[in-house]
Amino acid sequence: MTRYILQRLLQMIPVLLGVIILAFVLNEVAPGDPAVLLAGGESATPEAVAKIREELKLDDPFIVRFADYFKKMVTEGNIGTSYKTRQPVAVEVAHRFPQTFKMAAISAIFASIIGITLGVLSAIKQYTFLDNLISMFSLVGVSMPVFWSSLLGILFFSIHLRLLPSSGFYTWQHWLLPCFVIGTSMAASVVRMTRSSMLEVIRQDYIRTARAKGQSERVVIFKHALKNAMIPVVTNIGMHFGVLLGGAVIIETVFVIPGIGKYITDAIRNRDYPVVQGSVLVLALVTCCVNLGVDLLYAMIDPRIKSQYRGMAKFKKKKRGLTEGGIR
Amino acid sequence: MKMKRQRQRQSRGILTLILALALLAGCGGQPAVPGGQASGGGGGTSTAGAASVTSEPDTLIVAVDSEGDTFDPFDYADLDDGFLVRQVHEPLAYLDSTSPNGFSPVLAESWEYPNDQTILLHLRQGVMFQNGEEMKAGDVLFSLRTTKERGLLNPNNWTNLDLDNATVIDDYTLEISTFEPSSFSFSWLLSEMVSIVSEKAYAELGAGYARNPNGGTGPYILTDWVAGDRVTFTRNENYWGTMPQYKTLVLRFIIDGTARTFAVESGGVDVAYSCPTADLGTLSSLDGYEVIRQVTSGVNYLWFNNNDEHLKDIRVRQALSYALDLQTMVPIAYNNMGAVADSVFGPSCPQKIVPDTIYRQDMDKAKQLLADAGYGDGFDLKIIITDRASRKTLAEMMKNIWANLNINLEIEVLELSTILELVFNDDYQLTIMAEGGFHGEAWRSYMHTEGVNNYSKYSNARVDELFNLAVETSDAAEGMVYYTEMQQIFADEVPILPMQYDEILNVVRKGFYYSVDPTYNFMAARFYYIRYDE
Repeated sequence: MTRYILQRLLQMIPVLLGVIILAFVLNEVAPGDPAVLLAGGESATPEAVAKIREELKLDDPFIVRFADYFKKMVTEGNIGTSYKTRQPVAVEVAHRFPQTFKMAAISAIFASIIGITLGVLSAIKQYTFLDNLISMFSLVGVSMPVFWSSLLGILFFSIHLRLLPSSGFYTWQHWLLPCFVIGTSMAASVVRMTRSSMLEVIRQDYIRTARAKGQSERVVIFKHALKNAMIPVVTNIGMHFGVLLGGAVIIETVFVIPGIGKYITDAIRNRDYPVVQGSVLVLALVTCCVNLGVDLLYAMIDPRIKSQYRGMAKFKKKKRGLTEGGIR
Repeated sequence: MKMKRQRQRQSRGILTLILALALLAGCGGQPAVPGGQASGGGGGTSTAGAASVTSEPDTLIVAVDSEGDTFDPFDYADLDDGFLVRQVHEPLAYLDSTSPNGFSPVLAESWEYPNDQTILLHLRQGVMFQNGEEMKAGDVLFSLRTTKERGLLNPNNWTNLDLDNATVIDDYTLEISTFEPSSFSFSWLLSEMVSIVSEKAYAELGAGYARNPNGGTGPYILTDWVAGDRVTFTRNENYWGTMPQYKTLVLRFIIDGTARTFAVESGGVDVAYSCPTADLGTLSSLDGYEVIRQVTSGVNYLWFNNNDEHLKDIRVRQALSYALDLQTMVPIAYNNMGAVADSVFGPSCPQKIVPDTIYRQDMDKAKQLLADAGYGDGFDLKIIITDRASRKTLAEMMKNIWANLNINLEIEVLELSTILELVFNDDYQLTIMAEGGFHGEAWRSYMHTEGVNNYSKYSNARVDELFNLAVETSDAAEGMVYYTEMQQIFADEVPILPMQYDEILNVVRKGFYYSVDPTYNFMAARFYYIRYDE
C-alpha cells in the first residue's frame, strides 16, 4: 500500500509540471497589462506604467521570466510574490485556503450525511411516497443553480427573518447559510447516486443470501448493501469536494468569504499573474491529493480493491524477480 | 446485553441534551466579531437590525467596495489604498470649500507667504505619532520629500518645489520655496494625498510599514487585517484632535455590489460606501437607513482621438457631439445618478464655469457640419469601452444615433488595461473614461499638449499657454480668467466631450452624520468623521 501511495505521489510531479507551464503560458497570452492597473488604472501615466514594468521585469523575454520563476520555486520554494500586495503568494494562500477548506469540509459532511441517508431511504422504500418526495427534492436540488439558492437563502434567512448574517465567515452562524446552500446542492447529487447504486446492489444474489441467512434488515442494508454501494458515492463526494476546494467562486463572492476562489478571480481581474500561477499550482496539488485520498478510501471500503493494490505490488515484485533471475 | 442497550440509551439522551443546549446557546449568543450579528445591528450600534440608534456605539462597520494593498502612504495610487491609509495618517490640511483659501488646517496649524516664492508652515505642537514620537518639522520635510521622490502625485506638479533646500527653522516651523513664483505649487504641499509620517518609524519598518503602520498621527490604530475580508482599527487614545466616537472601526471589503446591498438590508453594516445605483429604489425604502447621493470629482468623458484621420477635424467632433441627446442618454445610462456634464472641468473644481457653447441635440446642425467636413456619406468609427453597463448603454445609444449621420459605429468591449494600452499607443478612435480633479491645474495632464494623460492627443498652443499663465499667477481672479478662456476653447473644439458628472450612492444608518464637510470627507474616506446624533 505504501508503495502504491509513493507511486501516486511520484505521478503527481509531471502533472504539476504541466500545470506550472500551462498557467504561465496562459497568463502570457492573456490580454491586459498588470502594470497599467498597478499604475492607477484610468489615471495611469505611460511613464508610471513603464517604471512598473521595469520593476516587475515584465519586459524580460517569456523564457527568462519562466526560468527565473521555476528556479525560485525549486531552489527556494517560492511560488511567487503578488504584484498587487507584494506579499508572498504562499503566505496569502495559507491565509485563505483554510476558509475554503472549512467551507468545503462542512458542506461535504453535511451533504454526505443527508445525501446518503436519504439515498438509502429512497432505495429501500422504492416507488413509495417517501421515495417520490426524496427524488423530487434531489431533482430540485440538482437543478437549482447555487447562486440562485444563495440569493434565496440570503433573502429569506438574512433579510426577511434576520436570523443569519448575509456575509462573512467568522462564527457558526456565518457558516450555516453558505454550507447549507452548497451542502444541499451536493446532497441532491449524492442522494441520486446513492439511490441508484443501492438499487443495483440490493438486487444482487449475496443480499438475497444474507436475508436467507436470517440477518436483520438493518444488517443487510448497512453492512452488506451500503458498503458495496459506496464506491460511486465516494467518487461523487470526492469530485464535489475537489471542486469546492478549487474555490466555490460564486459562493465566496455572494457570501463575501475570503477564500481561495475569490482570491484567484480577484487576481485574474487585477492581472496579478504570480498569484494566479501560485494558486493554480496549490489547487492542482490539492486536487491530486483529494483524488489520491478517494482512491485510498476505495481500498478501505472494498477489500477487493485493497487486495488488488497488494496484488499489484506482489505481481510487480514477482515479475522483477523473474526478470532478474533471467539475467542471472 | 440489556446493560449495553441501557448505556446506549443514556448516551443518546446525553448527546441530545448537549445538542439542544448548544443550539439554544448558539441562538442566544452574541457573535464574537463585528458585523456578525444574527439579529442585532451593526457592531452593537443599534437595537435591532435596521432600527435607529439607541445607545452609544462602540463599533462602526463600514462596507467598502474595494480592498487596498498597503498602508504605506507613499505607495498608494487610488482610493482602494486610501481607505486604509487615511484612517491612520493625516495630511497638513484638508480641502475645504467653505474656507477662503480653500483649505482647513490639520497638522499645519497655519501657513503664510513671506513672498511670492516662499511658504512658511507652522506645525501643530504636541501631535504624537502612533509610535510615541512627537511630530517635528523634520518628519514633515521627510514626508514631503518622499512623496515627491516616489512620484505619488503627478511629478510635474512638484518640479517647481525646491524641497532639497527647504529649511527647518525650528521643530514646528518649516520654510519651503519654489524655483519660480507660483502660489499654486504650494497647494500640492497641502494636498490630501500627502500623509505625514514619522521618519523614524518609516525607516525602522521599511517595506514592513505597508502592513504595520505605526508612524501616522491619525485617530485610528491598525489592529487586525484579514486579507480579503476586513481591517479593524482601534481608537488612538493619544489622538491630538477630536476623538472619534467609535472605539473600533471595521472596514469590510465587500467588493460585490449586490452583496453590499444585502449587508445593508440584513443590518450587518452601519455604512455602505458606493452601493450599486440599480439598488437605489431598494435602499431608499429601507427603514432605519438613509441614502446619501454624493457627487464625486469624476467626470465621464467621450474621448476623441484628435490624431485620427476623421476625428482630427473639429467639425466632425462637433457634429458627433451635436447628434447626441445627452439630456436623455445620461439619466438612462447612469440610472438617474449624477448630472449631465456641461464643462470639461468637474463639479468639485472651483474654477469650473459653464461655457457659452453647450451641445444640445441638433441633428440638422450635425449633418451640416459633417457635410461641410466632407463626410456627408459618413464613415466607420470604433469605440472601445470596458464592460461597465453605463458605458455599454451609452455606446449602444451613440451607435443608433450616429447611424442617422451614416456613421457606422463598432463597439468593442475590452479589459481596462487593454484599452489603456491602445490609448497610450495612439491606436484607438473613441473611448469612454472618467477623470477628475479638485483644481483647474489637474486638467493639465489631460489637456496640455505634453500632459501625461493626454489620451485625446489634443494640442492647442493657446491652451498650453493658458495653463502656464494660470499656474504662474498668484492672483486667483486672474487665474480664473485663464481657466474660463480655456474651458470655452474646450467647448468650442470638443477634444473630449464631457458627458456625466459622477455620483455615488452611500447608505448610512439614520441618526449618523458627518462632523465636518460631509461630502468631501465621505469621498476622502475619512470614516472617523462619522458620528451619530447625541
